Amino acid sequence: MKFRFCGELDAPDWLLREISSLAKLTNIRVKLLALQVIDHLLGGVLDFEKIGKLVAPANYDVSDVKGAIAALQFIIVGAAKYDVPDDALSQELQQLGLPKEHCGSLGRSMRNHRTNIRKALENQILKLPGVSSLDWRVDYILSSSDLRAVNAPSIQMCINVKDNDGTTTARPFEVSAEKFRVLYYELKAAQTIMEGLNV
Amino acid sequence: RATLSSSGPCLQRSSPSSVALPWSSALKRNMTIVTFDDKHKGDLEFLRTLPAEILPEFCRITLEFLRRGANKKIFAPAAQKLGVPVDAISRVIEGLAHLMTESSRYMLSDADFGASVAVLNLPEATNEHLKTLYLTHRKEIRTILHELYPHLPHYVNVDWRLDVQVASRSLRGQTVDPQFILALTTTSHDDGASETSKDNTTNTNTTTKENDEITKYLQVDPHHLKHLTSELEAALQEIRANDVRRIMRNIK
Repeated sequence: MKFRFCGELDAPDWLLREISSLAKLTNIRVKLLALQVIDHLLGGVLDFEKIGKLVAPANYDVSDVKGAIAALQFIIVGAAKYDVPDDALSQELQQLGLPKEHCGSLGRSMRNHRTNIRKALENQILKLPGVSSLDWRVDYILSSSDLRAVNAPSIQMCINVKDNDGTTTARPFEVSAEKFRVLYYELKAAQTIMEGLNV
Repeated sequence: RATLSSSGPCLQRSSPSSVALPWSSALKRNMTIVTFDDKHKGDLEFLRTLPAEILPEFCRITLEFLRRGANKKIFAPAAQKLGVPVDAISRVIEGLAHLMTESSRYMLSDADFGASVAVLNLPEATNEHLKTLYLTHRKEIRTILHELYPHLPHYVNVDWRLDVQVASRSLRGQTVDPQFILALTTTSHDDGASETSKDNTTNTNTTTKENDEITKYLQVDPHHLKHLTSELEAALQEIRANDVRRIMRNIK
């Protein structure tokens, strides 16, 4: 069976098991658990004490709690990732065995937080190391050991590149006036193309 | 060292029964005692005939053998002094080395080692000496054994992103060129020296290091990615092949 929130693939077996264990909790508790998971996705911390209180009636042990959280996270991230509309999500979860009220409440939470979750996921997109800051300085070379009177401007730039693991490397270099003109012209052309695409 | 990775000294004999040796100790693992078959015992019998002074010398030679491999020249003067052929000496050394490696492999405790060696009926002093030798050098032997297995980097994570190149400095517009960017993270547990992981139409860009994880950035076009995925799926399908099933059944 193909599910949209699984990216048109079959639902994994572990998800079916966790859904059947989630069904043991009441509607409200599942909704609050889902809110905790969404909070965590948006950058908060999982409050394990609260979660412990929420799952208390179902007598979960540690692995059950982890499984429930993992299942909810999978469902929520999948729904946001593949942009599944709320009613379709609700239907698919019902097909998997989650009771109707739970699906409804999950759908409503998704509706409220969908844009935020998508924004958070956007920040996690693979990024190559990028420019974090740029410093420059224009010098005027008066003379050198090879030529008595040079009288030419020169630009010194330092691009700080930020890697994915957070380290910043400084790459300083120097550009002569003509080369800099070429660089500037090309970058401006690239910027116009980017703006043209940025509708 | 090549002789260590094969099953031990006794395989050099032509007799078929000797093949059972190393695995017989493996099968009896729940007793955690190294058992010897008759050929091995025969080799170590020789230890009994040794005068006490020579035993440390033999032990030292054994350790050198483990570290560097066989060196027949060392055996020659010892053989001459004792009046036995070089062959017998090398068999004894290899037998001792095998005893050491098997005990190190299973991390035998003192008692277990003592029990294993007791089977050989060697004099008590010899047993003690062998035990001290084993305990002092156990760690080193284990590191040597550890090095005999190839260390390939392990897969950790793949992140991907689909880009479309719309323009470049030399070509403006009119080209639509989809490309995947992959970030492949591998970790190599020991020395941190890891080799390049797979690339297709590559441009291996920068690599970053983070507690001995290495991330390589790769570029793939959709064609090659499709080929890559179909090859990997075929590899997964192999698990269902008859040969593989037979092997898995036998491992269990």
